[in-house]
Amino acid sequence: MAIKGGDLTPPEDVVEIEVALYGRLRDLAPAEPVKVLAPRGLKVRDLRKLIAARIGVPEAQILDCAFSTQEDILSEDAPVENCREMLLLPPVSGG
Amino acid sequence: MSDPFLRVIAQSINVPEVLRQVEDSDCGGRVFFLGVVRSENGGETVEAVTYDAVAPLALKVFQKLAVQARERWGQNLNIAVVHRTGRVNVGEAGVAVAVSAPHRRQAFEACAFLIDRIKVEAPIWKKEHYAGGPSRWLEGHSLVG
Repeated sequence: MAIKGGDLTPPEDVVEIEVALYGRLRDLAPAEPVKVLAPRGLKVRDLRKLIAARIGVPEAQILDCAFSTQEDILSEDAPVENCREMLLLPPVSGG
Repeated sequence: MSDPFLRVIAQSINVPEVLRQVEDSDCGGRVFFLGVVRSENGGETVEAVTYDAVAPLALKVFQKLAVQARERWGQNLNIAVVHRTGRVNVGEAGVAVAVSAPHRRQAFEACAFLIDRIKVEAPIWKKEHYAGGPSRWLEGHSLVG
């Protein structure tokens, strides 16, 4: 973490990602969105480990959850810096 | 044929309004599905459910499914889909799907296709509230590709 002008800003090789939680995940972290620092080039699939650590659950508990934007499911292989605001979607149960 | 009527709403579903969306003098079959909160699930007494949703993505899924239904059962289908968010009490509707088509079989099959796919593709979640106070998010279908 670097200090610029009194503010804490991530170094250039790290990006801050905000992840909003839905469904059952809301009960794990009511104060959403969850914010994590991720190295550039990290793939979306690897973000789960950081999110799990941030909200204090085993990664296995969110392996079945998909990342998305408000309008599209994200590819598991996309680099995280392509989308700074994501949603984490547990298995769906509507209808 | 009209554009599909697709909504995610926080208010009660207005059934006559949904049915009006598929009125078409060229269509001899109209099928309407209403998903209603039932009072029992897995031996538990249910008092209500709360729906959570990502509305923009859900509407995009509804649109994709409407396109697929028309490709499969005919471009002349009229389609309406309305899904609730928020708390819905037992006996109240959580989802409505209406389809009209020239013939009944198209309408039956397209309506079944739409509700079946909505349940496994739309980013919507259901939390059941039981008598006595406990509640539980229902298991569902993963969207991980």
